[in-house]
Amino acid sequence: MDISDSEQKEVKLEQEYIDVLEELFPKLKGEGYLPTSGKADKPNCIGWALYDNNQYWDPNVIGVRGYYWPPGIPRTNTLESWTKVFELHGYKICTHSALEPDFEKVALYVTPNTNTPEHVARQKASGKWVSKLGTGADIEHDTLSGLSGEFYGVPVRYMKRPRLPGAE
Amino acid sequence: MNDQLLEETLCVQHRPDAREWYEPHSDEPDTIHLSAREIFRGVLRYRTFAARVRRLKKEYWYPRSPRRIIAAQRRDPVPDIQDIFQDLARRWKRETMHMSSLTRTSMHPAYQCIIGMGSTAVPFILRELQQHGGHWLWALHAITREDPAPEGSDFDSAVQAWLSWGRRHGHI
Repeated sequence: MDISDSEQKEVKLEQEYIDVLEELFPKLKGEGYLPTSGKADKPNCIGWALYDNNQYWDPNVIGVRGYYWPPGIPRTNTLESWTKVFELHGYKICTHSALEPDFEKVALYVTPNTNTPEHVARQKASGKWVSKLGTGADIEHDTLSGLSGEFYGVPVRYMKRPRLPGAE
Repeated sequence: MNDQLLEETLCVQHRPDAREWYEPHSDEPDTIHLSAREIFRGVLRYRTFAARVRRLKKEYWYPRSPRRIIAAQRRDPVPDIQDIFQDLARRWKRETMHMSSLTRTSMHPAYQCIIGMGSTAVPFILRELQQHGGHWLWALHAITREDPAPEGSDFDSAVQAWLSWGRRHGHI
């Protein structure tokens, strides 16, 4: 996994896609965001948060091949399973999302109605967050609340690990 | 005038050749003489019959005539299976593009409808996968109960394995 600190450049997205994005996440425009790459089938948000750009991470309950889920982690789409995935990569649960320069943080979003995890964002050294939006674009967003709402729910769990050398 | 004479007289007056009509000779002209009552009844019967034919044509033949069926389809074409697939695929992509969970995207009603199309959908899915990508492996696996991708393969190699499978089976 390449964790080199790459300079993020704004990517031009189709206006139609931007409209869809800003309609789905109404706070995003007001709170600031920058598209950093176009749509792609892989990775999804977990892979992106863990610097794996080649695989789509999913518990994949029917077991069709082509999807990755770490061995030993229960194949269930629950907050506990997602937490274990990040624990496997050195993260520990913490209490807040404020920037701690020596730590890399992730925030797990959960929808209140279903209590299932819907998204995870990773914090950069600058304090901004990066997210891969499903098979859509990946973006850099200034706040976690920019993606909060009906679609992803709200961030309910924060985890951190010591920031790796060269990590963005 | 007795009754028999009256009857004979009336018969002669209205149908003078009644006897010949019932027992025609080959050298006689082919002429039928009808009473006014019989003509009236015949006309009435013909008009009733013609009305029935018109009604049958209107109710049965016209709606089923090939010309009218083709014309109706041109006015209001019945969507074929490919159009149905394309509509469902478009809707599924638009509404699930930002979802992070394969389970959630695969449970979308449009995706489930495509799975419900069964083996008919397989060539369309493979063509869509070949041309535009997308997470179609779940649907292919659910429909065919096969999984040609090697154990532990990543997404790209699984897609390639499915496309090879499609070529081998003549779907693409």
